[in-house]
Amino acid sequence: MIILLKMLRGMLKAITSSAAPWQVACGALFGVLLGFLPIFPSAGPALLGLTILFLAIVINCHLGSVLLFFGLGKVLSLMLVNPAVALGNSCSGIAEASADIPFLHHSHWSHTGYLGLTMIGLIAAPLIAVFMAWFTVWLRTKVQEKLAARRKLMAAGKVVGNAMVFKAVCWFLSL
Amino acid sequence: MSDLPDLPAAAPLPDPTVPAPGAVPAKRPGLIRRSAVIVLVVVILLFILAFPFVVSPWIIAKVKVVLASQGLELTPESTLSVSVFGGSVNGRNLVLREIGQPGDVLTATTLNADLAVLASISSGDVIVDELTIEGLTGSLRRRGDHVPIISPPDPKGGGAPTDWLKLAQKACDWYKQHREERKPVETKPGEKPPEHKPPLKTEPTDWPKAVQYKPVPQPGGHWARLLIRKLSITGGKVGMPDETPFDVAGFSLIGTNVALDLNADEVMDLTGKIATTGAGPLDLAINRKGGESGTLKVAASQMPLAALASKPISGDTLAQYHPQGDAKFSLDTAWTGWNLTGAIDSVLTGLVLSPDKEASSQAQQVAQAVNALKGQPIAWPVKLGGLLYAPTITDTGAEAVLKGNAASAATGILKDKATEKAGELLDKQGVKSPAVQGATDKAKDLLKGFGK
Repeated sequence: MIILLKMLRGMLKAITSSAAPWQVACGALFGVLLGFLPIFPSAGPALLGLTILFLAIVINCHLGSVLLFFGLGKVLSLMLVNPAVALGNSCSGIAEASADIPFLHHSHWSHTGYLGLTMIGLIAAPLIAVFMAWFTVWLRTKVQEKLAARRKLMAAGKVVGNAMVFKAVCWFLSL
Repeated sequence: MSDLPDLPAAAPLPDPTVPAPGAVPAKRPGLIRRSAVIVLVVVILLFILAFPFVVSPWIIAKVKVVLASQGLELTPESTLSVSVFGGSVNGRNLVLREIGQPGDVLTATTLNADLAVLASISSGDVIVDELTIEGLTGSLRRRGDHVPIISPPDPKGGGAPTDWLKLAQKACDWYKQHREERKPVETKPGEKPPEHKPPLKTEPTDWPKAVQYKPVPQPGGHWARLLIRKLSITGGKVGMPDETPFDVAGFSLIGTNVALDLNADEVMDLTGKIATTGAGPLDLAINRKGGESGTLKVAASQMPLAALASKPISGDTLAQYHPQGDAKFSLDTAWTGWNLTGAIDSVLTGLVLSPDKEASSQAQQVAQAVNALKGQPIAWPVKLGGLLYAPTITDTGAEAVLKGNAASAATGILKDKATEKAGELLDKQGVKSPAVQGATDKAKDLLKGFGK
């Protein structure tokens, strides 16, 4: 539970950091993709996974978000193994076609299990990235300043009620 | 109206998106990370440092998985190491066994393979600069219903003995198909391109319910091949599937550019010297030029006929005669494309047949006729032709055996008879005078010399 809370705090820290919203969004995108896509499974290195890892290093995204969403994505991918296999098997045509395309074959798209996970990752990553971009802007423009002002008032002893909740929110946002 | 005094208007909350007046505007982050080079160098260094702990064990694990798929395993005492940067595979005291079975299949004291990494990457082939195996011994003896490595256990069971002829024919058919598939395809305008082969569907063992498709090489496409530029294998005893005089007692194989498929500018040479337990020494020489033409020579300088007549080799055909004597045997073939020409030259010396008393009258007659030749050398030339994957005998050499050899054999017998008679005559003369005895002995030696 504490780990989960710390992870959540890490995510919000990324939002309140000096990183631009697109950097946080990119970090979330690469992190989720790296979590779901194979990078170096027992069957051998995956070209697409390694390419995304390279991009995550070269592109100026928020590395904290990459690590955070990589962890989240990995945990989710382990939980979603069976649905991923079912999804991959239902798209066996893509897997079959991928076998004849060297880059996709060496990215393990010809394996229906990895294909299913990759598809989940490819669908989830842009959605999460867009959400993170919107959420970062919303939190910074609508919430962060109000919370900072309220904290100043609280420090002056002028705010009463729900102090514990407010303190917790401030801890999460590192205010 | 309110009586309350007017309060000064509250200052509006600052807009976080608008920089405060006088504040230095924040620098917009660039698309490329400035420290990317440093991060990449660190990642590459970590990757390199992780090689002995990640990549090398992974390669060794892959080797073990491939062996396990054939029902084989390396014993824990075997030492196998991979140097990715050195491009080499080294093994010490390797012992290969069937999974869960006692008894070694193959053992080797040392194995060194130097990979030509850059050449392999640029050509898309697996190119080994040098492969040296020393102290290779083992036993491919039949175990139950199968022969290790050659014919792995049949899941359907059966237990039928291996049909070597069928196995060889199967191998020939496979090679024919293999060569045809690798031929460059030239499609003329209006002509249909070759049919696309669908990928192979497999079930990965480590991921149940999933399916994996493996690419199948397409006709005319690039096929990764294994090329060994320098090959050297030396070894000791290797038991053959059935116990015969052809069991290997020691051998050496030396080769250059050894590969199943050769490029047009490559020449493969492979020579082998094999000492057998009961069939004498065997010499082997293969030369292939560009995969289109080649020669194969096999020579056995002193093969006991008893070895050829053993039941696992020739069945009951020769065994009933209990032949004695030696055979000098040489197979010399050459081919261009699929067309094969060649000859098997055998010279049987000291051939004596001793059929069982219970043997048929026909066998007794054959033995009588052959034994009448008194072991004189019999040359038996056989001509080969046909196709590489379906060789045929174009001339059995029977006529040559009947005409030429019968005549020479008869000449030999006549010479023997003449030598014998002349000797008897000289003995009669020599008895009378001891002085003549010495000259008589010399004359007998000379006659014997003619007899040869």
